[in-house]
Amino acid sequence: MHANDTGAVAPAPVPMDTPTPSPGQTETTRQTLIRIMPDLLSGFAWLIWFTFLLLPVLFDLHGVAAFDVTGNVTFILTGLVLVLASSTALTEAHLIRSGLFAGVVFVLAWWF
Amino acid sequence: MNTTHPAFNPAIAYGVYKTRRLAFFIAGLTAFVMSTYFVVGYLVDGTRFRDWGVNEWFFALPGIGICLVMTAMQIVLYAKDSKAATLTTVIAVGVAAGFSILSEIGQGMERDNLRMTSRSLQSPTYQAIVASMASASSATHTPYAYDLQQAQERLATCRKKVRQGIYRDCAESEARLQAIRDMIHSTSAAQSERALALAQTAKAMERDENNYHPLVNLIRNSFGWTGIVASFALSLTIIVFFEYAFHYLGRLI
Repeated sequence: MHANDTGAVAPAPVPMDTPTPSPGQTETTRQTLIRIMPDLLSGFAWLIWFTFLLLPVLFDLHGVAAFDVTGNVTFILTGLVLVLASSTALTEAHLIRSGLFAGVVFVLAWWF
Repeated sequence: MNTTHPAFNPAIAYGVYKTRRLAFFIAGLTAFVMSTYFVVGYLVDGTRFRDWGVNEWFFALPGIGICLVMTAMQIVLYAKDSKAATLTTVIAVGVAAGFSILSEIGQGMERDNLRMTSRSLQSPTYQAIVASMASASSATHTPYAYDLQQAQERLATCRKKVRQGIYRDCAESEARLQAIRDMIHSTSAAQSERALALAQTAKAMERDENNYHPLVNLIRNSFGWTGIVASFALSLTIIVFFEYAFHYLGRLI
């Protein structure tokens, strides 16, 4: 007869501060991150466009008044097209393209 | 089309189509405005439409027309099915996109140039040099004016005395006068040289490449390029991605 068959109960493991997540739980968190990543990327692109391209022109910030109004408007429109392309790429699940367009919006906003 | 699929909703599909068509229209409008802004600005030397007369419109209208045709060509070609593209279509896309890219890059580079020049002109060092130039070029006071006057008077007195037979000659007075004239000449030459050196320094500082945007400076220092090449590379990158976004939006409608 095996020793475990005597009816003795093994001591319960001492609970840790941070319970180890099960593989199923880890997968769920990763999936959630993957699910919200496109929305975050899209939100980031829109935020950059609004904050660093649209607002400075509307309120004459960062010395944009030194440039021609038409020139400023064309760069706002360029940023808008890139943001729209980024959002559209997300709906098509073209994540790399979406990321590239969002990255160029960031570069454009910084350079602007 | 399978309209019985549970995930398919015609209303949503039509909404998506309309949104993408609007995005493509905005892209086309942007491309047209960017090209026109540069081409008309180049042809008429400015875009102050309100101040234009017949002469300016005479040059501007062909520019607007060219940009309109090129952008319309882009819109038509980008919205076409790329799988059915022929060699002619590819060439046409190349011509339209090339024209658009070049004109749009020109606008970006002009912005960089304007920013760099205005920062250079506002630099305190440049302002100080310009102020020195102004004082150097307007200086009319000669430090030896009094000495010159004295020497001329003494020579006149000496000549008078020579005529009266008191003095034999005025060699000493003439030598003194000549020495003062030489000093005045050398001082004037030194002032001119200083003014010229200041002008050359000011000219170099009018376009100080360190005043380019930090992104342009990053490219400039990373690759050892001149400011204008780095500015071109940055504008090219942004505009190529814009054109790609334009093409991408057209392909999806």
